[in-house]
Amino acid sequence: MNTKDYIVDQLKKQLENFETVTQTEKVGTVVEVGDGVAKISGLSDAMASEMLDFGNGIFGVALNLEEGAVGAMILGAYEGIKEGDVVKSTGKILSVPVGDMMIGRVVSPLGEAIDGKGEIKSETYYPVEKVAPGVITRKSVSVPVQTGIKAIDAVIPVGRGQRELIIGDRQTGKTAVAIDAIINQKGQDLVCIYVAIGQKESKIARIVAELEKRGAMDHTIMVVAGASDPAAMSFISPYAGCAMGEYFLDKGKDVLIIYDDLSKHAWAYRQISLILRRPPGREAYPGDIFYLHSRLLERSARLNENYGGGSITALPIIETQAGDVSAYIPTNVISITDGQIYLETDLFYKGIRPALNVGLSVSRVGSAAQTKAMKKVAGKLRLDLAQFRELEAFAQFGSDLDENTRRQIERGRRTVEILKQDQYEPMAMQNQVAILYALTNGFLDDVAVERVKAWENDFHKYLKSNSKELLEMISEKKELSEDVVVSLEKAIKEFKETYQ
Amino acid sequence: MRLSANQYAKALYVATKDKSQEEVDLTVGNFLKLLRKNGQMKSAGKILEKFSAIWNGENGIVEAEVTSRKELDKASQDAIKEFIAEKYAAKEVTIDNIVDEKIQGGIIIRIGDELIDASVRRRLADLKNSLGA
Repeated sequence: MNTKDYIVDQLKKQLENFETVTQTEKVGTVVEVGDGVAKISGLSDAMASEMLDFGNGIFGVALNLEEGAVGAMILGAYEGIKEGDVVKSTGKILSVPVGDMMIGRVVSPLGEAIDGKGEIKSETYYPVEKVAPGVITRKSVSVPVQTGIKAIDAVIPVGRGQRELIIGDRQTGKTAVAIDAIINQKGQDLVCIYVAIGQKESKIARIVAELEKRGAMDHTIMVVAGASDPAAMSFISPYAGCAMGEYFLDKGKDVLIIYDDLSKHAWAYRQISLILRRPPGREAYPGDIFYLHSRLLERSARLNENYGGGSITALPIIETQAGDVSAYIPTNVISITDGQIYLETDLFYKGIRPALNVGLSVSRVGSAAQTKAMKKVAGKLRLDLAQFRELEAFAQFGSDLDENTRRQIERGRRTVEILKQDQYEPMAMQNQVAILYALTNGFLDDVAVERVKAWENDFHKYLKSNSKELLEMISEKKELSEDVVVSLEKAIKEFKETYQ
Repeated sequence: MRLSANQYAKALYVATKDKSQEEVDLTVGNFLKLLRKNGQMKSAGKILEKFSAIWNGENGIVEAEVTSRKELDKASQDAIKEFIAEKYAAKEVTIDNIVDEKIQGGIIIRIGDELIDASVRRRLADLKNSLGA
């Protein structure tokens, strides 16, 4: 049989087997539409958060189930929907396509490709809203996420399965921290998901270009709800991103999700709630605004071996207004997460970048996940920083200070200098350990503060060309054993001799 | 407390149920006075709609909206009536025939918020979906 006959035959068979089942469907009629929300009469059997078919490929989600009417948000363009339109219930809870082919793509919150690289076909669908893993499936955090940022990996470490909030005013480098963390996962085993919520399309385009340039798109999914997309899209995008992550979690893989940012998510939900006439509460947010974020972030977890051993690490971002961390949404999210990375405008303009406030930033579980090598150098580093902060106020008295105090202040200045790091330049764990070891053991005390940065760069170059085995040893053993310390000190001394 | 249109309709139904003609006249008159007193005259249309739904529900009357490509003849109307009467255990079925060329053939029956779509348009759409195009 030739190919043509085969195709015709197959087609005939398919047509023969085709049967339509005519069945009773539940329908309703649109009675009110406005700003992305529709009120529908009828639909007596609609479930909460069920998908509704408005026709023409537009779907909605039932949110309010009232006597005789259903309040629904519309996903997509709502201009074409008018009063009297027939709405069908689908019997399905809102789901998104998931799978390995999502990696490297830019998708809408509904899982449709928006990067022009062709349609994404998937057999597997995951519900957008899902109950978080329970107690028996979980395990405490024990493996670190290497963000490649010295200040974070050393002082406020993030573990796999942790929820670490990144908080700060606009233009303080919140996204930069998150993007560096994604770039640093290149060639490692973490799948990264960046969820943009109500972000400017130009910013998203810039991030995608940057990630592509650095080869970081190969392990990354971008879920994008732009500033011009309806509020409903912004509302579901973090849940959709989380569902895509849960696919990898179920396969026992580790996932890093960045929600950029949850303040805009809260705004989108406030808009939908107010239009649906739900009663407003503090700052006009609806009553369930806390649960909105807690149920999302609770889905980040580290599962134990019996359940595959995967993890979802979340880095939610919150934008504060004029440094006010005691506003409604920031306090909510701070209390939900396992710590926060606090970025400050003042530090940013002082040239300390990342503009991390090491004093106010905490990680409630991460230190359990630090490698032994990092723990050893970080303990001393934290102490140095704490003493420096206490004494900083006296620094201007200069020569009136006793020898000990002056030494601590000088060490503190060098520590601050070392913790500065350029954007898009994440550093490997072994290099971090080496430089922090040199710092905390006083090898930099005789280097002028303004030359510390150059010293560090040359030191890393030197290690790369002269002590490759040493770096490999640290990265493999993740421990500062006797012999490693000896050869590390030897390398540092040798470098100092050659360095002018 | 403000009463909903549904509550007014229910009250009117109970008040007029199994009553003689004169009593019904009196009740309806009083009912309208009540509506005026409560400032609810504007929702009279809605109440009437609800009332007829309740009346139909209680007396086993089903109103069906049937869409077809051409106007249905008596025989098919009777067949549809019989089908609906059986499906909904109705005593009486009224049909409102709507002609819509766009459905290409077959019929669509709508009763309340239930829809039975047996149109050619729907079947073609299903076929298109199953072929994955």
